[in-house]
Amino acid sequence: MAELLGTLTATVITLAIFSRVWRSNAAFRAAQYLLLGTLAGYVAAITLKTVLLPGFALPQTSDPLAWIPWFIPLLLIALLALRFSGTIAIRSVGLLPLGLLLGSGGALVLAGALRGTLIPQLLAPLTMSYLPLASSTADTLTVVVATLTSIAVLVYFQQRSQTDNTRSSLFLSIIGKYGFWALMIAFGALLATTAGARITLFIDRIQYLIHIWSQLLSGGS
Amino acid sequence: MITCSNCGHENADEAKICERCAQPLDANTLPPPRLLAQIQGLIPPEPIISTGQLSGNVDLSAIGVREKAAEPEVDALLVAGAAVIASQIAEPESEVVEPAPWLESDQRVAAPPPLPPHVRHKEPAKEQPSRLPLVLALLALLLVIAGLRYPLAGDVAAPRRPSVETAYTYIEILPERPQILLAWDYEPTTQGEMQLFALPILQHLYQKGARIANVSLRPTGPAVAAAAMAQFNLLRPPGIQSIPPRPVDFGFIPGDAVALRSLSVATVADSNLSAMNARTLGFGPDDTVESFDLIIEFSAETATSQEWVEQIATRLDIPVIMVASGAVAPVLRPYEQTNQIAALMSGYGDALAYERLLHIQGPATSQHTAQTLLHLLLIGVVCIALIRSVFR
Repeated sequence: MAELLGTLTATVITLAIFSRVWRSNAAFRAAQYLLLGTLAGYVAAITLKTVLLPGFALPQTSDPLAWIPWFIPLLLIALLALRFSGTIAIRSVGLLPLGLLLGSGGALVLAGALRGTLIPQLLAPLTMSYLPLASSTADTLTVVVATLTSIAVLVYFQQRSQTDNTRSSLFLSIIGKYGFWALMIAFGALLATTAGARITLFIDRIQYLIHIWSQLLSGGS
Repeated sequence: MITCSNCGHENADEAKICERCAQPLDANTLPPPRLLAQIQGLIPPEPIISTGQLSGNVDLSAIGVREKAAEPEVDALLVAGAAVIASQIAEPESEVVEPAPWLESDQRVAAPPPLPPHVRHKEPAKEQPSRLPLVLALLALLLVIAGLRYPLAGDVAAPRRPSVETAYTYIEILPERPQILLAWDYEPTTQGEMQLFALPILQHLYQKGARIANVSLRPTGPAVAAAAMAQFNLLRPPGIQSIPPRPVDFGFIPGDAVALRSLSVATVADSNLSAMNARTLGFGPDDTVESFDLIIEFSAETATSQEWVEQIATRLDIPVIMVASGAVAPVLRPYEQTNQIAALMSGYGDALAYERLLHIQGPATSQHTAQTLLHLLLIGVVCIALIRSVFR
C-alpha cells in the first residue's frame, strides 16, 4: 500500500510540474510550493540536527581549555542577538561577529581565488604550461586559435565600450567582428550544454516513472 | 505692387492687408484699434470663451471683436478663425472634425460617416496562447517512451573522451582497498543528470574494494548520497557480489570555503568523525584529508566546484576528479587544462563513454536511444525556426 501511494504521489507531482507546458495552473503551483516547502523544511532539519544541536552540546570533559571552543561560538551568538536592540550603540556591538565572519571568510576566499584561479590562469598562457611538449599539430593549432579568439573578443569589447564616434581601422573591425561571432558561438554552446542537461533530466524522470509503475504492476518482482 | 508701410513687404495691387504682418495697406479700411493692437501683438488676445457654436453663428466678441470689420474679406477671415478656435476648444477630441473653412473644397478631407447603430465597437480579442510548446512536449514524451521501450539494437559506440579515460585510469591504478572521499554537492533536482556518473563510478570503486567517505557542503548532500547508494544497492551490478560496506559520513559541513579550509588542515581527532568510523576508513587520529587516495566531487554549482579547486586541489597533493553538470563544466574546463584537477567529466556523452570503458550496461546505455531521438527533435525544431526566420 505504501509503495502504491508513493508511486502515485511521484506520478501526480511529476505530471503537475509538466502541466506547466500547457499553462500555469493550480496543480503546478501546488506542486511547486510543495517542493519548495519540503526542501526548506529538510534543510532546516538537517541544519538543526548536524550543526546547531551538536554545537550546543556540553563538552564531556573537565579540562577548562576544552570549554573554549564551546564558549566562543555562544558568545558570538549572544553578540549577534544584540542586533535586535533599539539602541544604536548596543546594536553596533552586534557587528563584531559579522565582521569576524565576513572578514575571515572573505580573506579565505580572496586568498583561494588568487592562488587557485587568478594566478594559475594568468600564468598559463605566459608559460604555455597547458601546451604539451610532444603535442600533435591539432593540439598546437587549438591553442593558437583559442589565444587569437580570446584577443579578438577583447578587441570586440573594447570597440563596444568606445563612447565617441571614432572609427576603428579595417583590420580591427574585422578582428572585432570575428570576436563577436566567436562570442555568439560560445553562448550557443553554453545554451546547448544546458539544454542537453535538461534533456537528460527529462529522460531520467520518465524512465523512473516507467520503472516504478512496471515494478508495481508486476507485483514488485 | 503695394509696399507695406509697417514691414516693407511688397504686396499685390489688390491686397488689402499685408501678407507678412497683416497690417492694412489702406488706411481707410483699418480694423478697430483693439484688434489692430492684438494682431500686432501689442496686447494679448482676450481669452476665448467658446459659445459652442460653429460657423455662421460665431460670437466674434470671443476674440475681442466689438464690431464687424468693414471689409468682408477681413470679416470672413475673422469668422473662420474664430470658428476653428471655438470648435477645438469646445470639443477638442471630437471625432467629427470640421474641415478648415479656408481650404478649397477639393482639399477638404471628408469626415468619416458615423457608424450605424447596429455596429458595436468590439474590444480587441485576447491573444490566445500558442499550443506549439504543448505539442512539442507531447511529441518529446512519446519519443522518450518509445526510445526507452524499444532501444536500438546493436552495440552502442561511444567516441573517445580523453578526460574520461584519464578519470578511468586514475581509479584503475588505485592501490588495493583505497580510501576515497566523495563530495556530493548537487541538489535533488539535478539528480537525474549526476547519477549517470555516480552509479558507474561507485561500481568501479567497489570493484577495487574502496573504503568510501561521504561529505557535502550542501544540506541536501547527505540525502542525494543516500539516494545514490540506495539506487546502487538496488541495481546490484554484476561484479559486485555482496552489498558494499556502508560509507562513512562526514555529513553536511557548513561554511563553504571556510569549511573546506578547516577540512584540509584538521586531523581526524579534531573532526566530527567518530573513532569507529575512522577505523573503518583505516585512519589514525593524526591523519588528515591528505590521507585519502582520491577525491571525487559531484557538483552542479559553479561556486562550490571552484571552492574545492581553490581550497583543496591546489593546496593538497591529492588528485581531484570533478564530475559536473553540463551547465557548470565550461567554467571548470580551464582548471583541467592547467592540470589543477586530474580530470573533468560532464554530460551524457562522458557518462556513456565511462560505461563503455567499464563494459557495463548502465543507465546511460539504457537512455541512448531516447537521448538520440530527443536531440534529433531539438535539432529539427531549431533548424525549422532558423529557416522560418531567414525566409520571413
